[in-house]
This record gives sequence, structure tokens and C-alpha cells, in this order.
Amino acid sequence: MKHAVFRILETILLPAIILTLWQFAWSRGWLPRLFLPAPGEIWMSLTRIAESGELALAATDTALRLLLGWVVASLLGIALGILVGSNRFAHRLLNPTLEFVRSLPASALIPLLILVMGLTDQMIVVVIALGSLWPVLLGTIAGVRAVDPRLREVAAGLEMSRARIITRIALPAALPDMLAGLRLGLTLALVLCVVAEMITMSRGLGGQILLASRNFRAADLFAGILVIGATGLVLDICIGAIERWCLRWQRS
Amino acid sequence: MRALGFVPPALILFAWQLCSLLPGFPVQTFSTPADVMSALLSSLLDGSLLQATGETFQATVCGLSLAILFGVPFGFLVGSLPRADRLAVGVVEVLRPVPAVAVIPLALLMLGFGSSMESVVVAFAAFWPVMIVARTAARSVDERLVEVAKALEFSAPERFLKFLLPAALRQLFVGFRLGLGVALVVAVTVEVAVNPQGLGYLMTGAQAALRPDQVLAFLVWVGLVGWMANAVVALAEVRLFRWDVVDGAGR
Repeated sequence: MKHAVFRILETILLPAIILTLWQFAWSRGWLPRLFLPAPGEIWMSLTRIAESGELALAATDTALRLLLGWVVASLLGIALGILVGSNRFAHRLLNPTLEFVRSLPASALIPLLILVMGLTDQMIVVVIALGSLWPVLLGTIAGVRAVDPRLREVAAGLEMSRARIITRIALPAALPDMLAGLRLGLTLALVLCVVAEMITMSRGLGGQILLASRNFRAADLFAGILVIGATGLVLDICIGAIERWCLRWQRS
Repeated sequence: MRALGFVPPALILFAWQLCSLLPGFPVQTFSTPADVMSALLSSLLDGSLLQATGETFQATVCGLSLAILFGVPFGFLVGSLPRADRLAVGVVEVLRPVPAVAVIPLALLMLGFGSSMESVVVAFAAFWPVMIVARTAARSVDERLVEVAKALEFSAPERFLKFLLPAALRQLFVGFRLGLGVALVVAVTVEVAVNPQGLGYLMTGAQAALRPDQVLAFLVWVGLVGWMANAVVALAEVRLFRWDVVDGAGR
């Protein structure tokens, strides 16, 4: 018990020192106030946007787009991954193309998608979906391909149908790789969502922080960055919990 | 059989070119493969594409160098001293979930448009992979090596330069390669989002001018450049670490 308290104190020691020094230096006027607000100001900005409902509005806006894009990408990635991973011919045919397209930065697709779809919400969702597709897709392909050959032989010996092989053998075996891909995809989805929102100047968090920066509202800008960081953290914790739940059989 | 991989792109290009001949095909939004090819050639020949590539690479390399400059010592510090690791974890865990792109408006406010602002965002993004690999590398250095260095009474800086660094170099290089991938993507992203320079800006400019042929040509170019950069670094890795037999066998 004592040890745990000590641990926590140790963890918050450095942040506490930094915040205190920051506040002190700021009140002395040593910091450029144009872009470095005091920690107290950031806190006030956070409480203000939380109370006025601005925060909830922007955060739900961002979260909905992000999750929609990510879910579409994940379903597509898993389906396509099983197809390409379980079929040697499909793998030979498609893998080089997939490897090349994967190396494209997803943000570079934004100008193209704006041309095709305009500055719309749908465009943002498509950017997120296209960007977060690759980790899931490649993870699933790798996972399905890495199924133990002996398991394949067992399946053949039991004369299992193709569908049963996929649901009973390939998918469970590919699950760890697939989940790692899903997790990475979610991180990418947040990044792309913020970028796309900046470009379209939407009501979501990305648009709001760029707006704050353009209007020299530094406290609001820092508050927004913190909220985006917290969103990332919460998403990561959630998917981490899902991952552990799905892989609970693995630890025993 | 490797030729099989070229079949899908070839089919897509062929179908696309064929469709563009149909009446009613929206050439204004989708262009045609032939137009994309000629746009790529003409912007390569007039030097605009190469200049923009240079700008993007400059910001990428500056940012990655900054990330290495700060990330490697920091990673080594927290990797070799458990107490430093426990102290730093609070700050690291607050900053790490922040996507680098969320820092763009702040960098813009502090430094204005230009390559310095872009380099800072790139450095923030590439810092994490470099730092984490350095931390792992410092942790996994063979205990016996440290003991030998101590027994030979090397001073701390000498121990670092002659034992720790060479032992960790191969792993560090993996961190650099990861960092380069992140850095290039983030540089292009910053340009697409706000910064008026480099490949990303060239693409948004082409989009604003309603030139899908150019947008697509630059997209292909960005993919080629990223792929080549990665290939060059991967080749360098193989060449540089031929001596590292123990690790080399594990790969």
C-alpha cells in the first residue's frame, strides 16, 4: 500500500514541478504570453468550454466521424484480409499493389478526395476509412497466412468446410495480429480525423484548435490539444480492454 | 510469377483509360491515366516537383535529426536508470497520446508558416519511436558487457561511447527507420493541412486549381518517393550491420 502511494507520488512529481515552474515563470512575465498561456488559464478555458457544452459538441462530432470511419475500415479490412490471406493466388495477385498503396501517406489522399467529394463530412469519413484500413488489412493477411500448417492438416483431416476452417481456425489464429492492426488503425483514425477537420474547418476538435490558433486564443488552443490527447488515451484504453478480453484464452 | 502482381494495376489503368473514352465520364474529377502521366512528366521536367520534393525532404530530415538529438539521449537515460524512468513516466504518458497533427496549430502560432514550424511538428512525431527504441536498446544491452566495462575501469562517458552505443547501434537504426517513415508522412500532412511549401502544398494547389491529373500525378510521386526512401534506408541497414552476426541471424 505504502509502496503504491510512493509510486503515484513519483509519477506526478515531475509534472507537478513543471506546472509550478510554468505558472511561476508566467506570472513573472518571463514567458511569451502570445502563445504560452498559464496552466491556470488553460484550466479555466477547459472548464468554460465544458460548461457551455462546446466541448461535448466538438468531441462528439469528432468521435462519431472517427468511429464511423474506423468501423467501416475494420470490417472491410478483416473481410478483404481473410480473402487475400487464405487464398494463395489472391495473395500473389494483390499483395504488391497493397504494399505500394500502403506506403502512400493517407493525408495525401485528402486533396484528391476533396476534388471528388468536396469539403464534406462524408469526405472526412472516407479519409479516415482509407487511412485506417491498412493496419487491419495487413494484420489480418499476415495472421491468416501464419496459421500453423499442422492445424491446416487437422482441418483437412476432419474434412471441415471452407467456412468452418475460416471461423474456427483461421480467424482465432489471426486474432492477435488483427487486434494489433485494429489498435494502430484507431490511432491513425484520430490523426486523420484531426487533419481533415483542420482542412475543412469543421466544428470538430481539429477545426476548433486551428480556429483558436488563428484567433490567438492560446488558452483555448492548449485546452483543445489536451482534449484531443485525452480522446486518444481513452480510445487506446478501450481498445486495450477489448484486446485483453478477446485474447484472454491466450494467457492461460 | 512475380509478374502476377502487375496485373491488377495494369487492369485498373486500362479500364480507367477505356472508361474515360465513354461519353459522360467525369474527366474533370477523375482525369485519365494518359493525362496523369503527362502531368507527372511535365512537372518533373519544369523542376517544380523536384523543388517541392527538396522542401519536403529538408523539413523531414531536420525534424528527424531533432528527434534523434533529443530522443536517443532521453531514451538511453530512462532505459539505463529505472528511477529516471519512473520519474519521467508521468510527463511521457501525458504527451504521448497527443497526435502530432494536434500540435500543428500551436507550432503555427509560435513559429509562423515555413520549414521551422514543419520541422518541429515532424520532430514531435518522430521523437516517440526513436525514444522508445533507444530505451529498449539501453535496457537490453548485455549485463556482462556493462560489468566488463566497469571491471576495465572505463569512465562513464567512455563506457557509453565504447560499449553501450556500439551494442545498441543496430537497434537504434531500426528506430531511425521507423522515425523516417513517420517523419515523411507527417511532413506531407503538415503541408497538406496548413504549410504553404513542399509536396503537400503542391497537391492542395493542384486541387484548388481543379487539376485532378496533377493531384493524381503528385500522389503517385509521393508514394514513389516514400517507397524509395524506405528502400534506401533498409539497404543501408543491411550494409552497415553486416558485422552484427548475432543480431543478424535473428532477423
